[in-house]
Amino acid sequence: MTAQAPALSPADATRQARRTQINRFALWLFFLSDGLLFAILAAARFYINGTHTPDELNQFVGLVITSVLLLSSYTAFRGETAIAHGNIAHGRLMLLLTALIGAAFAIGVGIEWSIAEFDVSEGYGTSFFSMTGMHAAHVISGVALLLIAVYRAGRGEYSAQHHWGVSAIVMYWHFVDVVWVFFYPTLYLVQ
Amino acid sequence: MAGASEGAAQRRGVYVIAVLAIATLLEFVVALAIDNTPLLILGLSIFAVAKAAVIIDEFMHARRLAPSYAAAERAEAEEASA
Repeated sequence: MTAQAPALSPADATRQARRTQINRFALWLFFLSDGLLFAILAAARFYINGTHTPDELNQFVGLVITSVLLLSSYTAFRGETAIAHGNIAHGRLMLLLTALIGAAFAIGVGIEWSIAEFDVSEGYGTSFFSMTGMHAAHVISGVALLLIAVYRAGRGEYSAQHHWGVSAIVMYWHFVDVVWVFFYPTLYLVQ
Repeated sequence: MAGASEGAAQRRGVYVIAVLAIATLLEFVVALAIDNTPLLILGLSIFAVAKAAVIIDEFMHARRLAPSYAAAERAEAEEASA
């Protein structure tokens, strides 16, 4: 048995639409401030190490985890789109799949950490572990948020008209992906 | 807000992820092929900015921040509740 979103009066609907617009703007401000944190970490990588990248860095693992994160953005998009069109069951499935793929990414980063042949006390290691660690912390929080969205969708709290919660979480997930779009070449590909 | 049908919206997502996957693969190949560091940094920067722009526009719906979208969203909410 799931709860159904109650019908809104025109005044309440307008108020809700305004609130969503304000929430959306605030979320983008958060992305801006969080993005600056990541930008500082990326700048520090070049300040500390220049363009030096260790030869022993596992390029294959880097490419695989990047592909995995890209795939999760697609499933997140599918989930949000499905819920925005009232297809809640498919949306839940896609969000759950996104959370699982995100967990796989975090595990991939853990594997990368365990096989890394450089130390955190080295210049590159400092950058590598701090950048991937901060990013993985965001991925893990994103996975937790996605699971909350899956739970709430199961309780009937989202509909085609009312799904800002899902949109915000999925936008956060895409933001984490955008960060990795810059981190991947910064950490792995620059030589 | 929903705009296109679900099928059309999902198909667009397929195109977007295909573009991103191809760009990532090209980025990797470019990194292997170019030895000149300044040129490599320029190439990788172009790839990264282009990929980020696609994600921000298509997946994060940055256009919804526009005042015109906000007005349309309010009108649609009022219409749906009337």
